[in-house]
Amino acid sequence: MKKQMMMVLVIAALAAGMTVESPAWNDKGGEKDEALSLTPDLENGRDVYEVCAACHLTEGWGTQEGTFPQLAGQFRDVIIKQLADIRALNRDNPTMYPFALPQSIGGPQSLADVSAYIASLPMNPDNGKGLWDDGTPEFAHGQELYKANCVQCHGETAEGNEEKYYPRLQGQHYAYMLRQFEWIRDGKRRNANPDMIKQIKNFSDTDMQAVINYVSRIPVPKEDLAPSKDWRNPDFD
Amino acid sequence: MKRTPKTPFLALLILSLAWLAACSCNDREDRLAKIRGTHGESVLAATGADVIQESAGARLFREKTCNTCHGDDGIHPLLPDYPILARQGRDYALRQMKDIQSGNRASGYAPQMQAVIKDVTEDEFIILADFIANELGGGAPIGGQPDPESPGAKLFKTKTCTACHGKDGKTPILPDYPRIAGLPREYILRQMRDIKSGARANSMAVLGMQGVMHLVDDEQMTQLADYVSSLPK
Repeated sequence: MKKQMMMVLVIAALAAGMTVESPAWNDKGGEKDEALSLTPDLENGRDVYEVCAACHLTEGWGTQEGTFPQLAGQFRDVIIKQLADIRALNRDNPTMYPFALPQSIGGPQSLADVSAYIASLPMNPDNGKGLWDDGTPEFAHGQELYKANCVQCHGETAEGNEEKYYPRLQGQHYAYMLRQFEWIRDGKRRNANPDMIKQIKNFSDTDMQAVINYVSRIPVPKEDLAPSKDWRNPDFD
Repeated sequence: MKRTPKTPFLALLILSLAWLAACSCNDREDRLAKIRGTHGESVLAATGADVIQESAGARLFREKTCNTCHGDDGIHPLLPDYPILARQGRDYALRQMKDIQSGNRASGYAPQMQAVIKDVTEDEFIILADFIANELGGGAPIGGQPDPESPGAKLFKTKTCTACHGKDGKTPILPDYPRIAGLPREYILRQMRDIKSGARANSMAVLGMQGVMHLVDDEQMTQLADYVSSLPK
């Protein structure tokens, strides 16, 4: 009976011309805040991460050609927000969806654990980069665009801002960033920050490639990197 | 001017209320029980000299002519690129039957199957899906001897197949993702190609797979099909 009442209410709401509000970029509360308030257990985080490793690799480095992003070294709150958004269907990612579900990785405590584990991993010293080296006009164009449009939120060295859920971009793969940038610009990534959508809406494809090329070439601080690109995560020996 | 868009909503509201009033809560269970009762577990079907007990699912499998293409045992289909149905997951089987009926899955032979199943009801689909998952084919072995050194075995791990389909190809991450171990080689190959090209795009699971299909070329798909078809079901 309850189900039928619900259906009647939903249909009545539709009939009254109401629209379902899409969630705001970063609403307070929910499992995201709960996960952030919990004390992470790194050992359990490692166990949860095993599911993720099938695609993002045991090192959390993703793939250089950009199908899977590098996760290693990303802020905890960014990881938690994306996981929560993907499983709540606020970010369309059909490939990732089943792995973000509670039955695959668990509830808020698991989000806390796996995000802490990911944040603790050393980063890939050999991320995928754009075509244009320092000294080319494309590199310079990208640098200019970055300073004018991106620095304010993502920081001088693309280090991001943990407090504000702005992701760290340093060391991320070029093709992955390019795809996300395009989706954000074109409204395909639904959980994007509206300020960013506004900021980049006039970027041409050439601008986009130039700015992402520049970001992909910003060096990661040495202390955050793995000793070499051949490093393998000993937790998964 | 503002009133026009509301009219269909109001009509929908009235229709829905009428429909809700007409059906009771346990409607589906009642109807399923009725179908099971009429053709049900206790019914004895006489075939020649033998008297065999036939379940509702087994009877539907014949009545709806599923066996014509997929084989009486669901293991030996009529053509090599038709799927083996035995031991497929219930939720996956159910979704595919419904998607083929609705036209949501329209690649390969789906249109031919759509013509055959256009009158099958949802309740019958549920019984068929249970039958496919739990009874069809009995315990007969399906699949062969996988070669762990083959190129396909390596690709199966490195191209992220195992993430969704399981290391053995029969423990999918979600119940409406397929068990692919031991499916016919030609069928597997066709599905990979159709999902890669976008010809098959039913369900989020399929779209999810499309997101990784650029990781394999035609030769690698062939190697994967060789390996997956050899996995025991």
